[in-house]
Amino acid sequence: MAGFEGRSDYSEFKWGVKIGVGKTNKDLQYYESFTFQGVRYSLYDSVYAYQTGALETDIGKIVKIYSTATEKKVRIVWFLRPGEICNFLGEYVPFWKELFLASGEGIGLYNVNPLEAIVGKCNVVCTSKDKRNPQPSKEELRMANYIFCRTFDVGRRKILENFPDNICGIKVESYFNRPKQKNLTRIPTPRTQLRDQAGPSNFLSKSQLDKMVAYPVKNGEPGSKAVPIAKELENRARPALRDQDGLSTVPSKSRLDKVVAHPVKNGEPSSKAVPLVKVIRNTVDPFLAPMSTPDTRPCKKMRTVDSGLPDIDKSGWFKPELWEERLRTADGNGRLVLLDNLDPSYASSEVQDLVWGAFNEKVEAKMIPCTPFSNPHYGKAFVIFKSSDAAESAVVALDRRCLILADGRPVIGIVCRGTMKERDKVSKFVGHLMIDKHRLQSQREEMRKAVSTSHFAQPNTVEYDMAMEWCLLQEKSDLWWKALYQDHEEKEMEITKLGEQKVKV
Amino acid sequence: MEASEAQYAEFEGKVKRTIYLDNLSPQVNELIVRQAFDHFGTVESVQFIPNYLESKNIPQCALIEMKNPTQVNAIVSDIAQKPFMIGGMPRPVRARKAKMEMFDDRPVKPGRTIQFRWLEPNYPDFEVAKELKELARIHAVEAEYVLKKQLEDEEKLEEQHQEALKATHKKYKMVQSVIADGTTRQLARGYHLRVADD
Repeated sequence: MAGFEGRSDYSEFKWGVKIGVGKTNKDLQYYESFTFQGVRYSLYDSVYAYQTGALETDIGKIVKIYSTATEKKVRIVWFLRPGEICNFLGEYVPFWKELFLASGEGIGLYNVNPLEAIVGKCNVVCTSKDKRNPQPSKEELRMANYIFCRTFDVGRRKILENFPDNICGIKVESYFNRPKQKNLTRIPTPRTQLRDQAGPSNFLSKSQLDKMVAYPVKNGEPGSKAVPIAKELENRARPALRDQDGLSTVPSKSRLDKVVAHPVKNGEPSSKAVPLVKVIRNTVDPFLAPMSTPDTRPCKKMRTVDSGLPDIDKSGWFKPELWEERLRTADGNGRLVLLDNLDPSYASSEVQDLVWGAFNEKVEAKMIPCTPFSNPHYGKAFVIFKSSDAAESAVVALDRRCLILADGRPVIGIVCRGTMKERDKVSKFVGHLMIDKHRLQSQREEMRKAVSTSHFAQPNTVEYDMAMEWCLLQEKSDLWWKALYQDHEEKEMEITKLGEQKVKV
Repeated sequence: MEASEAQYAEFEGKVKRTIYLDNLSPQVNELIVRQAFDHFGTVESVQFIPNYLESKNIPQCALIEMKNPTQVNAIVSDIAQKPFMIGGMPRPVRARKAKMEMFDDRPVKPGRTIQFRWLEPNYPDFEVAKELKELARIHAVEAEYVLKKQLEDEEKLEEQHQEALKATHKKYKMVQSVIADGTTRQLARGYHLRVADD
């Protein structure tokens, strides 16, 4: 049996684009980005950094990435937590998720750290009203891990509302939110140009927000304000994805996107001008729990599916021959979707409920029973949609966005076209041997019956030895399947663990 | 789709009474299986599991429901110790206790609700989810490969056995023909040996 190569991409380190070499010291190489532990970090990303022994992670912005002959370093300008500067707050009461960007000159502005100090990415949004700062949308605010709108001058030990032009030698624009445009430059272009390009969406005034809410946003016809929002969302905080996914997903996002203005409660970290707005979704979803808690991690909220489906008479559906008929027809019509990576303990009706809740489609579904060589951690199910369009769009949606189940696994969907194999009634069965025909005929009746009757093999027969060899093969195959799936499980755990580290608050 | 506790418990009981049989020849039908297991105990039902996804030469699998769990345990341990043939030789069938996931008509576990959420591409978790999806695809390919290899191994083994069988068969034929046409007795007289009349 061939061995399997472990994929060690996830602990590997890779440099991104190089942007310069040191003037005096040729060993110094400056980079724009790097990949560490499977995550891509770029210049001006906000990250968590951890010092062993510290109680909490520190948060900062990467402003320089470079490598010397022997080490890899990043220069990080820090965001200060309110607790760290409590002595200097004075009258100021910080918001729930507020940080302060360090500025000025002095200790605590920045540090140069080895790359390994970085433990994950952080979503920090700037809510300052500074003209140079692209104003964040409600979506971005909701999804932010932290916000900042003031700076703390480490030299003067004061909290300032006005941002200086330079922090740590870098233009202050780099610290503000990324400009909202579709082209893939990382260095933000001058603010004046942006204002024209992205239109009115940059500065959402109260009246504009009201108007946006008033548009019923339907599938395929987003209100005019919604489209720039969709673009904003694409470019916010995930520059790493922009390269591959940014352009291609924007058009579909404006169709599938449900623009939400969530109920903002007082005291939530958002600009003070935002009115209290009610949730409007483009499809009325009876199962959605209102997303109103000022949770620091609102994206973790799960939607529960009630089995509120009307009781469909299922008595005739799942007779084996009938089901097979339907499967084959659906396969031919392109209405058959194979869902993978489900929880293996799901029942068929739960799969139907899931599809109903996620896609608003009524379907027939059946879990595929597990076999000795199927993965015990994944479940698969056949789902028959009402139309091939519905099937297509569901699979596309699963691809573009991710449908996550309760334990963090993403559901994969494949449309089956002609993938079902034909039942071959006279297929050969590997392992059953036939002796010469005329030999068999000359034997007595009982002997012939003995071959085909079920029996235990007796130890003194040729049959027994061969059977033992088969048993050996069966045992071996059991073992290698077990090893394979164990290996798979470990890989999954690795990735999930990485993911959890990244969103640590 | 509400499954009551009782229904679920009943189904669990059924699972405990069921054997999962695989490595069955596709030519075996329900009658043969019933006859096979009749002397172990009472067979309540036999259900073959149709195979839609894999290639057609995979051996069949079946779920056999017996009267009570003790019979199931007896069968499983017997078959584990001595090779049991159904419908042909010499590949033995493999029996194990059935699990919930082997039944595709299982009821919903009571008290469980399905939870899910959609992730947009700019959530921090999105990349993780994408990676998991990629990984799942890779794993599927790996599993396919393993299965292919396994089938190849099985075919090789069968070839070997076929060869061995032919050779043995030839030997026996020869021996039998020699006895039948009297050569043995002649030789025995020549060598002054006794020929036992087996």
